Amino acid sequence: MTQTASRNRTLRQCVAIFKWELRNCKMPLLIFGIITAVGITFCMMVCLSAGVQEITDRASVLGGVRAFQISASYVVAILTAVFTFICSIRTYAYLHDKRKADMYGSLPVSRRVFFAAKTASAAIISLVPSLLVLSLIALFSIAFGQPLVNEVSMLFLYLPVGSLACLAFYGLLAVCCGTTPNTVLSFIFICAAYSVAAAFVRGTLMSFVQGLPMVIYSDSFVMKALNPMMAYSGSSLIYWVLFIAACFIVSVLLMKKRRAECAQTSFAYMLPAYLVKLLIAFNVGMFLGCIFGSLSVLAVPYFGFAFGFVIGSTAAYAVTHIILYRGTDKIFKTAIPLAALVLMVCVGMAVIDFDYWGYTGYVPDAASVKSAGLVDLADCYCAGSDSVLSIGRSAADDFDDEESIRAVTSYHRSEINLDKDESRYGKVWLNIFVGSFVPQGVYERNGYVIAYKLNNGFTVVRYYDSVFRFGSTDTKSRDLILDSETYFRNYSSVMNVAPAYIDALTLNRMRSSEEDLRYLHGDDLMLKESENVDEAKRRDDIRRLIEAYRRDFDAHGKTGKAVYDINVSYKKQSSNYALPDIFFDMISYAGKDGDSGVIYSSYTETLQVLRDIGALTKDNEPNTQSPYYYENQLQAD
Amino acid sequence: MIEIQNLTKRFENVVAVDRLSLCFGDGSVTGLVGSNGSGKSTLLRMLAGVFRGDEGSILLDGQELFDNPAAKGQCYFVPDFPFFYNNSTIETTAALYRSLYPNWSDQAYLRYCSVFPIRTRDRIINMSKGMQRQAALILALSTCPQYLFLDEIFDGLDPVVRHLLKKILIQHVADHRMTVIIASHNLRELEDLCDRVCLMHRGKVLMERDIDSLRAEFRKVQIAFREIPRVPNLFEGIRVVNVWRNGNVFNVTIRGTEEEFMPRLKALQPSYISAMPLTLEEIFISEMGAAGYDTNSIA
Repeated sequence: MTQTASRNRTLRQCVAIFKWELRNCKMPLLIFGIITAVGITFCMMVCLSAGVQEITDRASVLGGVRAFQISASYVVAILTAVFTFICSIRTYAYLHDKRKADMYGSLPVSRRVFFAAKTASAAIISLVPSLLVLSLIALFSIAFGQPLVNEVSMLFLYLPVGSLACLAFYGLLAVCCGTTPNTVLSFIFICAAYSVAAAFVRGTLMSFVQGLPMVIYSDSFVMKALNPMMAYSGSSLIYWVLFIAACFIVSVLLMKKRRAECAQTSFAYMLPAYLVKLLIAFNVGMFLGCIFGSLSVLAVPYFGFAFGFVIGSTAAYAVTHIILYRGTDKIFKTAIPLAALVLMVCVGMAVIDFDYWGYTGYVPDAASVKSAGLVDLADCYCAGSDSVLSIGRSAADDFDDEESIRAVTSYHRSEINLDKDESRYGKVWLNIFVGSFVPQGVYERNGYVIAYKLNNGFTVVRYYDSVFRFGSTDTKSRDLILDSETYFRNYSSVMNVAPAYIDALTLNRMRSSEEDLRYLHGDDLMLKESENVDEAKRRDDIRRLIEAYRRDFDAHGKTGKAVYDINVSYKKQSSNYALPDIFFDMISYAGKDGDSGVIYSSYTETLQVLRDIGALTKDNEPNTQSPYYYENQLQAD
Repeated sequence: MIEIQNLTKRFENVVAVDRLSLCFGDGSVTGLVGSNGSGKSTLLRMLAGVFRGDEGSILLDGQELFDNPAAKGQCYFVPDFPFFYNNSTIETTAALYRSLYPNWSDQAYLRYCSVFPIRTRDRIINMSKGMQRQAALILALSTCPQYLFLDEIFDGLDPVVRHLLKKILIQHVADHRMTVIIASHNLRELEDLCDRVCLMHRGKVLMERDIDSLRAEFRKVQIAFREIPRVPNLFEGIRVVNVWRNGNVFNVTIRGTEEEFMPRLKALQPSYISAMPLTLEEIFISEMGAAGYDTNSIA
C-alpha cells in the first residue's frame, strides 16, 4: 500500500517535471515547428512543381509525391537530430549551473528520479513532434496513392534510436562534466575522434594484416561505438539499444554520488576527460607515426612510427590536458593512461609490422589442405549472404583435387608477394580513404576471396582487394579456377539466379570461334520485354530455357561444339530502399547485372526448348520469323 | 529538530565546514553570521540537500536528509541568488511546486500573493532584485515548510518588505513551530528576528548563543580619567575583550555583568564612566577580532 502510494507520488512528480520542461521548452519547440513547416513546404513545392509534368499523368504525380515523401522526411530527420542536441543541452544544463543546482538540488525529488524524469521529458519533447510530422508526410503520400518507401518507414524506428542514443550519451557526459561547454566539446570530440581512431585502426590493419577480410567491419558497430550520431543510420540496432540502456543506467548510478558543487568546475567524473585526451593523443600519434614510418626517419620504418607516435601522442595529450584543466595541474598524475596507450600501440604495431603472428605471410601447405576455393567477387553471383566471410566459408569446400588446391595456394602466394616492398605506413592513408569514402559495395565487389578447409577442421579465409593493389599475380593459376566448371556452376548467375529475376536473355551464334567474334555481331535472339511478345509467355520461355540449360550443363559440362552464346541479364534484388535503387540506377545499367555461358552442341534439351518456343529452326538456325529474332545493323551489313 | 554531527565539507583543498556539530530546535529562528567564506552558505546548502557532507551527518527529525524526498519535502531553501527560467512566472513555478511539495497550500499561496506587492503573471526574470526575492519568498512560504533556510534574504528588500517579512516569519514560527535558519551579514535585521545566533569562522562555530544572553554578556564601557592611575594593569581582574584608548579616555568591551566589573572600575576613581549593551554587530566584530579576524590582521 505504502509502496503504491510512493510510486504514484513519484509518477505525479515525473508528470509535473515533464510539464515544467515542456513549458520551458516552448520557444525551441516553436522554432523547430516553424523551420520544419518551411522545410516541408519547400520540399513539396519543389517536388510537385518540378517533378509533376502532367497533373493527369498518374505515374508522374506518384513520382513527385514519392520525391516529396523522401526529401521531406530527410529534412525532418536532420532537423530532429539538431533539435535533439539542443534539447539535450537544455535538459542537462541544470547540472552545470550553481543557481540551477541550488534550485533543483533542494527540490523534494530524489536525484535519480529527477534525472530520469528530465531524460524522459527531453526524449518525448524531441521525438513526438518529429514523429507527428513524419506521420503527416506519410498520410499525405498515402492519400495520393504513394505507399511509404522503406527509408521513410524505417525513419520511424531510426529516428527514435538515433535521438535516444545521442540523448543518453550526452546525458552521461553531462553527469561527468562540470560545465556545459565541456560537455558539448566532449560530445563533439569523442564522436569525431572515435570515428577517426576507428578509421586509423582499420586503415592500419588493412595495410599490415593483408588478407584480413576487413570489409566485414565496414558497417560494424565497432566503427561507430562511441559516435551515437551514427545511430541515426539505423544499422547495428541491437548495439544501439544496449548502448542507450548502458549510458542511461550508468548516468543514473553516477547521479546520486555526483557532487553538486562540481557545477562550473571542469569535471565531476574524469571519464570524458580521459576519453577525449586518449582519443586525441591516439589520433595525433598515429598521424605523426604513419608519416614518420612512411618516411623511415630512423632508418627502420617501425622505429620512425614509434618515434612519431610518442611525440605526437604526448604533445596532443599535454595540449588537451591544458585546455580541459585550464593549466598543467595533475598533468603527470594523469599521464599513466598515456603511457599505457603508447606501450599498447607500440607493441601492437611491432606484432603486426614484423608479422610475429604469422598471419600475413601464411599460406597453408597444400598437403595440409582438405579443400580450397577462390572467388572473384566481381564475377560471382551469391544468392545467400554476400558478406566476404560467408562467401569464403562456403567457397572453402569448392575444390578438393590436388591440382586446384595447388593453383589456389600458388595464387595466394602471388597475392602476398604483390606489394611486399611497398611502404605499408604510407598505405594507411589510402586505406583510411578507401574504408571511409569508397562505397562498401564498390570496394567489396572488387577483390578475391581465398579460402581453405584444413585437414584439422579449421577454415582459413583471406580477402585481397583489387582496387588499390597493383602488380601482377599468378593469373594462370587463378584462371584455372575461375574458368572451371565448378566455378561456373557455383558462382555464375546463368546457373544460380532465380528465373523470376531474369530480365532478359539473349543468344548469339558462334560463327568462327568461341572467343573471337562473339560480341561484334550483336545478339541474334533477344528474349526481352517487347510489344511483339506476350509477357507471360516470354517469362515462361525464359524459365524453360534456363532450366533446360542448367540440366544440360550438369549432364554434359563443357563438352561438344560451342554453337550459341547465352547471356543472362537479371535485375539485382531490390533492397526495397529507394535511394540505393536510384543511385545504382544512375551508376549501372538500370540496376542490372549479368553473366554469359555457352550452349554446346551436346545441350540437346536446351536446343529443343529453343526450337519449341520458335526461336530456332529445325536445323538450329535463328528463326527469322520469331518475335525474338533481332536483326541488328552490324549483322545486316 | 535538526541535528548536525561532526559535519565536514571540503572543496578540494579548502575545508568549508570543519567538524561542525549543531542542533536547531523546532520553532526557533537562528541567525548564521560569520566572516566571508566561513561556510554559512555551504552549511545551508547541505541542510537543503544540495550538497552532501564529506563526513558527519545531518538528521532531520531523526532521518538522514540527503537525497531523502520525504525529509526534503519539509524544507525550503531560498539561495542568495534564486534561479528562475527566462519565461518563468510565479504562477508557472507554483504549478511545479504544487506537485512536488507535500505541504503546498493554495490558500497560503493566494494570501502571500496578495500580501506582497507583486504581479504573479509577470516574468520573474524581468523583476528587480528585491521583487525576485519576494517572488522566492511567496513560493517558499506557500510550501508551508517546517524548516526554512534563507541565505542573505534581506539583500535587496526595502525596509517595508523587510519588516513585513520579519512579521510573517515570526507569525509562522509562532503558529506552526517552523524552524528558520538565516545566513546574513545584515546583523541589524537578525537582531530583531533571531532568538539564537551562531557565529562561524573558517568552517567552525566560534559561538552559539541566545541573543538575549549574548547581549547581557557583553558591555561597552566608556571610562575617562583626569589622571590615569599608576597601576601595572589598569583592568586587572576584569574580562576585557577589547580596549581602545584616546588620551585619557578608554573604550573597553568587557565580558560580564555590570555587577561584576563596575565596583572594580569605580575603585579606579574615574571622572566619567558609562556602560551600555553591545549591538550584535559590535559583538561580531569583537568576537571575530578575538579570533584574529580584524581590520589589522586582514590588512
